[in-house]
Amino acid sequence: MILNFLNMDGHGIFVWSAFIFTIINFVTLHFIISKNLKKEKMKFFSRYSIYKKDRAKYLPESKETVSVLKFAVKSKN
Amino acid sequence: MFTFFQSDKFLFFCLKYQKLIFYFFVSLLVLGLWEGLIVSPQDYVQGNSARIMYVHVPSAWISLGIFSVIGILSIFSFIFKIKNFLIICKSLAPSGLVFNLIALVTGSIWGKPTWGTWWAWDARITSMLILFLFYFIYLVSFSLFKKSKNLNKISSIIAILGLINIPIIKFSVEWWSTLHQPSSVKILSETSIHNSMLLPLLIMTASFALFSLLIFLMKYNTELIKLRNKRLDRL
Repeated sequence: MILNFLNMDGHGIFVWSAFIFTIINFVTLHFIISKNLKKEKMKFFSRYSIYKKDRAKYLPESKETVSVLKFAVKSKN
Repeated sequence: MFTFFQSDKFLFFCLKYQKLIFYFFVSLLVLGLWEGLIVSPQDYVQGNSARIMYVHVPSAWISLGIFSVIGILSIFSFIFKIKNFLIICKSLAPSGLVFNLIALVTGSIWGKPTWGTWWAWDARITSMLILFLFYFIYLVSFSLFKKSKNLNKISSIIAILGLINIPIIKFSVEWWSTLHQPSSVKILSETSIHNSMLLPLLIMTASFALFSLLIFLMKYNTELIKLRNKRLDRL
C-alpha cells in the first residue's frame, strides 16, 4: 500500500521530486534569510555595546542617538 | 499607513508576530500536503501527476503577486522618492524569486509526463522565464549599485519594466495558442476545477502566502537593522 502510494501509478518520481524541490527551496531560503538577520543583529549589539561605553562623548539630545537607543532597548526585550 | 511602515512600530510588529506566522504556516502546509497528496482524487486525464499543481500553481500566483506589488510600489517610490518603499520592495524580492523558480522547475517536471517534454518555448513558460530574469536583475541591481545615488531610480525602472510582463503572463494563454492550459481558477467567471481539488489548492496557496510574508518580515527586519548599524557608525 505504501509502495503504491509512493509510486502513484508511475507518476511518483515526478510528483515527489516537485514537492521535495519546493521544500528544499523553502528551507534554504529560510536558512539564508535568518542567518543574515542574526548576523546583522550581532553586528548591531556589538556596535551598540561600544557606543554604550563611550556614551558620554555623544550628544544626548541628538535625534539619531535617541532613536538608536530606543531600538536597542526594545530589541533586547 | 505610510507612517506605520516608516516608524519602528512596524519592526516591533514584525518581531512580535514572526513566530506565530511561522507556526501558522507550518500547520497550513501540513494540512495542504495531507489534502493534496492523500485526500484529493486523481485527475481523470492526467492521473496522479496533476498533484504537482498543488505546488506549481500557488508558486506561480505568488511570484506574480509579489512582482505586481514590487512594480506598483516602485512607481510610487520613483515618483515620490519614498525610501521605505524601496526597502519593502527589496525585502519582497527574494521570496518572489524563489517562488518563480519553483513555478518554473515544477512546471518543467509536470511537463514531462503531460506533454512529453521538460521544456517548450511556449508563450506562458517563456514569459515566466522573463519574469525570473527581471527578479534576478532587480536583486542584482541592489548589489551592483549599492553606493550609487541612483539606486532608487535604477531598481524602480527595472521593476516598472518588469511590471509590463505581468499582464503578458496572465493573458498569454488566451492571446496565443500555447501548450500550457488556460486558467482553471477564475475570479470573475465560473471555476472549472472540482471543489475536492480546489480546497487543497487554496490551502497550499494560503500556506505559501504565509511563508512569503514570513520571509518578507525577516528580510525587512534585517534591512532596518542594517540601517541602524549605519546610523551607529555615523554617531
